Amino acid sequence: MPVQPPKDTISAVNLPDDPGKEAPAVYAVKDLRDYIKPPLDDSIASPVNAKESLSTSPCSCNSVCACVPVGACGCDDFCACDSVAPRQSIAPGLSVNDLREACYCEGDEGCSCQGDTCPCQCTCQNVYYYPKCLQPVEGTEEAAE
Amino acid sequence: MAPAQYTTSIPVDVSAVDRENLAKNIFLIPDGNQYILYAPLNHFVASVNGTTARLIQQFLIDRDPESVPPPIRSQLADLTWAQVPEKLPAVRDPGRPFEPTQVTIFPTNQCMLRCEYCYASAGGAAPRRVDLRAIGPAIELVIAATKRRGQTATVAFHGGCDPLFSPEIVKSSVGYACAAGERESVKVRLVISTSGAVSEKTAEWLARTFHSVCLSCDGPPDIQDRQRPLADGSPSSPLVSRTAGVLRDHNVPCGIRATVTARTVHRMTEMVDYFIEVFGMRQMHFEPVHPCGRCATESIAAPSSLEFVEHFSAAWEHARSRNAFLRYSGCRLGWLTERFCAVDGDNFCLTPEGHMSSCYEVPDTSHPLADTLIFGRFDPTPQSFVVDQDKLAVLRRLNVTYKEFCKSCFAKWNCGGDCPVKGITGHTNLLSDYSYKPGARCDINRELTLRSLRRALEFQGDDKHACSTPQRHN
Repeated sequence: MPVQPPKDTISAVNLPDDPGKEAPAVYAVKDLRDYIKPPLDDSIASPVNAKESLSTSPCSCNSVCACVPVGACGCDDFCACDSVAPRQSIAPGLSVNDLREACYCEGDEGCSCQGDTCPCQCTCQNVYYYPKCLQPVEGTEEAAE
Repeated sequence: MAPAQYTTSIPVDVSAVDRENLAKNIFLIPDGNQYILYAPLNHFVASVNGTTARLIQQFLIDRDPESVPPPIRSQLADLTWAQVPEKLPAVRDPGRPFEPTQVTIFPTNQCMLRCEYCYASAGGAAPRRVDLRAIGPAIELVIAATKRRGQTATVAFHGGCDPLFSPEIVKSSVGYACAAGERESVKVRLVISTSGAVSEKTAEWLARTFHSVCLSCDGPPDIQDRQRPLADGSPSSPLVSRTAGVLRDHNVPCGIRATVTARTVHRMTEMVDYFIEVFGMRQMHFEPVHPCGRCATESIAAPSSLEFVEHFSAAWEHARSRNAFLRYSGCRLGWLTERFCAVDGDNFCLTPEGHMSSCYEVPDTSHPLADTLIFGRFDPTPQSFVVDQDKLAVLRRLNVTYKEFCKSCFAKWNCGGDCPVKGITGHTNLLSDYSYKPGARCDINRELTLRSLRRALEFQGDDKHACSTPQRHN
């Protein structure tokens, strides 16, 4: 049997013909504005028992990391690179495949990057960013569900 | 009667409201021997008897406040809730331009886990990775839109599979986003959903990089390792627990997202304890499993609506008693919205195939609704995105404004018509199913919203925890 749509609007509700002789009464009232969805509260989103002090990155906020190559500033891979070139000098005009082969990722057999940017920690030709440099961001909310 | 005034940030995100017939915006829900009178547009709820309910019915017909005795009128906030708020948002134009403020990148269709209910059936398809050439233009599109609006851009990572299966893609994208934001003076918010089954080094990077993290975990090790094992079948819980510890130690805003099956529905309270005590997390999000992908092929049973409601309610109370916050996406009493999510034409998910999908649950063209929900693609030649405006116009009707079934439901502006994809796939995969058939979780949504209203009425005074979306937990 098909499910019938709800009929909750006040005009659609059939009240008893004679609700009785009882006097009108209001048992409770609440203004739900108290429950308006707030921006995610950091105090609730932040874990309990977090360590008070953490080692800080040498990259300061509001500034671009100048750690080229990676590791020189101790950031390791906490910085991300906008564009990279292979470690060794490569002749201009090489294809992406050539570039990829010339890159290598420490601990890996070869570079698995695609396209014309290589996220491996090769020599960075552009800038490195410490991603949280752009904090604070207001209205932080939980990640996509 | 002065209409409600709104001065804060869009407490009513509902535009298509019947402004002439007040009674269509006011609901009466039988509740034992009493009635719950609910006027969501003005955030008003009351518990009344039948005689009062009849007086209000009459008042809404003749519009004469004098028909309600003064003491009752006074108790009912002078009937101010019967006005349509003046400052409702403008009705959205389905033909509006596509100007996303968030891009969600699905880096790959490969995953380190083999969740028994995976909606994307991870591991079952030929490996694909997102074309890195598409990432830049996607981010630029979002940066440009947010700059025009003076907003913050969001770059998110999600997918049918764990984005951190390919951390190098995530790192590259983050770098690009930060650079583009810096260049255009646009703030960039970085968010990610992950299983957390990653190396300690990657967990450290995760913690230092993202503004917020959604960690998918189903609970104590025996649940997690059965429902969400690694690809080789070994336990994932040690890795996830370690990642949770790293996030906790770095004080990263983080929430847990757990999937509940028929097997685990009775353990939700225990799951709350686990996430508080072991992970140190206080924000949790539990959802019943939906039969799609591997869940359907492997016959993983979902909990019954009744079971989920009962155990969720108990877990919610338990979480509250421990100063934690448990939520479910279909019960959002503090929200007044006509959309369940941004699937109705504002989502921009970049899939590994280079498509633009409006739904996290549609990561590739194998999904039965792919033809509807994939509305554009990356064209590598001009390195830009091609948007199908006709499809976009269809997507923009996937909200409760266009859902006939919900017209008279008291919970419609709380759940926003529920998840369109779950609703449509729960019937015959036809778009018309969305408008005229119930959502996949109406029973749960209505019952939990009703319980939230009751709870709000029971908790008088300053208890802000009474509903499912408390204002603040301090």
